[in-house]
Amino acid sequence: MVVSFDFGYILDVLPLLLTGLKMTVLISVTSIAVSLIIGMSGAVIRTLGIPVLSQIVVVYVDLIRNTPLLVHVFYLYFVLPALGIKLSAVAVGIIALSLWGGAFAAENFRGGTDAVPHAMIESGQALGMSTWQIVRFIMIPLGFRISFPAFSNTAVSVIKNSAYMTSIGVAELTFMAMDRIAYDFKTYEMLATIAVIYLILIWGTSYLFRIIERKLDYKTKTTKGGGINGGIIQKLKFSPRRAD
Amino acid sequence: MEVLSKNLNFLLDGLINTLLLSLSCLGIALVLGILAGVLQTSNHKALSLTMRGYAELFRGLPILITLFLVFFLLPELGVHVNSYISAMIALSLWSSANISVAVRGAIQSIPKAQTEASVALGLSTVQTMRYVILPQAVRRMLPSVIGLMSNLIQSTSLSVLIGNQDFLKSVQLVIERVELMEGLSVASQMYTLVLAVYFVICFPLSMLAKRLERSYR
Repeated sequence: MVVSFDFGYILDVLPLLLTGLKMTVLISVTSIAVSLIIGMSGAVIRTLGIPVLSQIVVVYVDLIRNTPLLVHVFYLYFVLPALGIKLSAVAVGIIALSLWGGAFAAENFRGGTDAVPHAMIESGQALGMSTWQIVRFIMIPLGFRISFPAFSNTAVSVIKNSAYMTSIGVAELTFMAMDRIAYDFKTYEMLATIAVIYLILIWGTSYLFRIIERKLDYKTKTTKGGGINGGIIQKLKFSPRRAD
Repeated sequence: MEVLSKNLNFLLDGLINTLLLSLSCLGIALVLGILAGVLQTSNHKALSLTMRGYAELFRGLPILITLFLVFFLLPELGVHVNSYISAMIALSLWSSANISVAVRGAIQSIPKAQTEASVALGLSTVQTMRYVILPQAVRRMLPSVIGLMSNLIQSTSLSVLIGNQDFLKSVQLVIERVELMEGLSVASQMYTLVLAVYFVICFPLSMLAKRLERSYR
């Protein structure tokens, strides 16, 4: 039987859920930022084909992408203490999510850094730029813009996957809700509420990313036969803003 | 090693649970996902919007929340299912939503001229879909479906949190048992084993997906 929906109860627990939401946002944003750094570094290392480092990145990316995040979380939380490394649940959450997001972001960004036209890198060399300068001023900015749509999917997944941290007791949204259900047994109201909160958070973030994507996008409308490369060169030659 | 051989059958049961769960989810999700994907491209506005809403809903919700929703709310609706079936339902919802989007994309990537040609030949809408569009679309969505399969196998580990005894759970039980009975911790070895087993299953799938994707481009 379906119990009647108790709206008053939702208002009562909303402050509690908002503290959980704050934690969800905190670990998500931190992890997205760290995975951006990991991902970009990994992508540049692979595109440049730096020996040893490149292989390490490949192993890291394949390992993380082909094993469940939940196992990473348990590994960090239950195995590391045995090796003498004690981390708080929040720290484990952020590290696990960052490593996970970083592996996916590395793949995302590699699509972008690989697509940077070779002519531009050669131009950089001709201008006497050092490798670091080429990376800093050509590969990263262009690669980022090209692969931002792919990365934004990863970033949204990081937010969704922050719910995994319930399993080790991080006081994020899902945990707060499940914890409270154990007291009040208002399962129906509580789950519906957090589902709505998650949807607002995730759809909202996706929408925001789509706006940014549109601002960064310069590959959909290129000149004839331009493709991605032609689009970039076109864009750089002419004004940064398109008339349409 | 001794722990491993003693508990081998127990661990294998868990692994079979994981694989069965993933395969049955994939089966259900393929049927539902293709249906939903085709309906998303239908000209019937209300129908296609509903199906898009379905896809957006279950792609938007974290899998864990879908899992909890199914596990805790079905009993309130009078449907009593165990954690295995709950996990199956929740993961099928999630993966069918993902497949439907892949199907929609694949269908829309088939040139319009083919539909028009089928109409000119006198094929009905269903026949056009069945004999002309879908056979081509299926080939195009294959890489993403295989990628999803790897993702699905990994996601079944979440069913541990509602008490399904899959591979991860049986490993945890072995760790606990050894700790209680013999007072020694095998957590690091056992969790490394978990990583290795998942990797051995999922890595070939990912590689296959990547290779197919490249060959279709």
